[in-house]
Amino acid sequence: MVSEPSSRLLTVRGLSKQFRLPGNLFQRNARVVHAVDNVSLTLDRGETLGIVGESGCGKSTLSRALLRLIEPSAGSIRFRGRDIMDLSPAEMRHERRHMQIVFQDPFGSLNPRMTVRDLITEPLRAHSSDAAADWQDRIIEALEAVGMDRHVLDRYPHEFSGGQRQRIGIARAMVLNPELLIGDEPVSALDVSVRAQILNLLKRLQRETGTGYIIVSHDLGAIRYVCHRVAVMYLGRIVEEGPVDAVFRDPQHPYTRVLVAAVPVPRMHGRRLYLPLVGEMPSPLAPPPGCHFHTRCPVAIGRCKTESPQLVEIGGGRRAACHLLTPGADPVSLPSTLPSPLPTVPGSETASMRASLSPITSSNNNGVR
Amino acid sequence: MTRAEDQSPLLEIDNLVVEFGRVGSVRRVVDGVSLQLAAGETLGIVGESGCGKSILSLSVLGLLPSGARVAGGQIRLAGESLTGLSERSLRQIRGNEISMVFQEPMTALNPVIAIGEQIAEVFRTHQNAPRKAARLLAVEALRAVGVGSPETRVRNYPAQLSGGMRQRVMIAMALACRPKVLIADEPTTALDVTIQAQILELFRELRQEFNTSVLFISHDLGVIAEVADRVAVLYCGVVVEEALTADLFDNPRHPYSRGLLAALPQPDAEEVPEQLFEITGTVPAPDALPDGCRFNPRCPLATDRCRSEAPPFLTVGPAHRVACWEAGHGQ
Repeated sequence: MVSEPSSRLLTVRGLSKQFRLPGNLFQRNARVVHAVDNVSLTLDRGETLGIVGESGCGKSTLSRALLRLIEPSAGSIRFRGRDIMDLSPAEMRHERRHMQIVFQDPFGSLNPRMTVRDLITEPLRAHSSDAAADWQDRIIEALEAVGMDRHVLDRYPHEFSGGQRQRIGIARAMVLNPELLIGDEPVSALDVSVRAQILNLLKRLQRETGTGYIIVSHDLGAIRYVCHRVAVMYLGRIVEEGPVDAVFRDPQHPYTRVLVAAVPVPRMHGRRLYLPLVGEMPSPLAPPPGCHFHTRCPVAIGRCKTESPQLVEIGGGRRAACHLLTPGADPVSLPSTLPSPLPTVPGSETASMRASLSPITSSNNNGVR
Repeated sequence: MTRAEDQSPLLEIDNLVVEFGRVGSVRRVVDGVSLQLAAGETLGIVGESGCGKSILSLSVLGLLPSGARVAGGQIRLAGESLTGLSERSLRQIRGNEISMVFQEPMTALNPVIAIGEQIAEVFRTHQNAPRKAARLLAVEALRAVGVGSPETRVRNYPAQLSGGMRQRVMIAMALACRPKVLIADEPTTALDVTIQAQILELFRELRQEFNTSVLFISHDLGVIAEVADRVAVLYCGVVVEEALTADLFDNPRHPYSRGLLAALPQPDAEEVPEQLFEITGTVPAPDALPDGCRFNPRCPLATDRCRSEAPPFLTVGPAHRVACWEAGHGQ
């Protein structure tokens, strides 16, 4: 194995998670869902990696598998320089003090019978080696770091709004000074005005503590704002990965292009012209062979139907899994700049579908979009 | 785009007040809202949770939850008042004249009846269509909303369909009797973005084809920018700004509208700010509204007048109105 830079916090190789659904009266054979399929990624200290994708792409399973909250089926996870896949449950529990998670639902993830003090004490009780007498200061410090004051210590979660609850969830995760914080849709349940507060909070905490973040979200705007790099997932696989501004401003993989163009933006100018992608995401129970995206891909070629593309370097610190983007091997390359139309590719559906991938920016909203 | 200007409104909401609770503990969740919807127009209503947007839309159909009541104002459809109509007369209007699409199609559809049967029921109830004809109409209704092989789809049950497909079924049912007004309450919120894009496209097509007027309610400013001709921004039960869509997004005047837009990071923006704009604090509860302008405790521009006196709804441009004391003083 190549030696890792000292700044490396997490290295994941070939991580997979399969779920077996029991057979029933009508289906004798157990069915297998490949929720996470051969995912490799890295995270440096103080860095934020975003994981985006639509429902069913495996992003939440991945976030839990990284902490072994869901046991991965295969692959290796190196965290702080050691492989955590070999750790016993007791050792793993000990290791988790360095890796914390914040969930989406600030209503469901806080025990309603515990006060704020209890909630923030709980992780300390589980993990801290300090004397209980010293906890008080750490609790107040964590609470103040998320912008709340000590007067709320004896109140219960139901007394708080969604945004405040999410702050409590973050205080709970950060009180142990973890080196890795995973956020699973941490702002999705929040209103716009509150979402900005929480996003700013996450960014500020990272500046102050140097914690590495992995933020899982379907909200591309939030990802762009808090992340340094982003990985785009489709049906359990990473299809594109790279610096977040490059990936979102100049997406390369056909799915990323469609995904970015599909996000409605609150402005009238410079919007990407988008003709909707036909069809829906195939069932993860029966993913298509070859490239998982080929059934909906407007530029798919014959090879895409049989051969699964590898995630390879495409320059600029970016990786993509697309036969058309693989250097050297590609019969037709996708254009590197956005406004140019895609080349005619044998096997592509129709001209209009091709147009859906050429994100011509429209200067106004009049007329047909 | 400015169809609203030269036609008398099809749907008119005039100074509507909706209240919850009994005397002594009344909570006003909609407080004096006036809106007009012209034929063929899509009016976006945007606001955060608790702003009253769903209650407003339910009141148009007379479907308020128990405990809520219209305490003042008028709702008129083509000049005729809907407030005070009997349940029986309202039933004539629902489905035929005004219909609704909800956020969660799984709970709005009956899980044990095939979708074709559910759509056919609309034709039988509202148009007295015979059973067989209703079934054929159901197939056509599904075809109109872009459902592939509708002849076989009609036999599916809701659980066999994806979220996007279920929402198409809901829209097919809502449009079955070619209503004049369609109320869509967060119709794409439960969907993934690529599926959302398909449904938004469907809304645009249906509008062109049937000239349906749409009241489109959403918390998502991006979605509103995609579908609406005009937008009303709701805060704590009052309209704080109303403008043509282009004007609202290019030149928002109310500090709340401006704050919402500034607080929203855009994925493909050229640059992201070092710090996102925050609207401080939270939406006040309906029983603890501040005096004066309801936004004043969170407003960076608030003055003493804002804290004591509710601002009037002032016209600041063509079809552009703002309820703010400070909005008149430039940016």
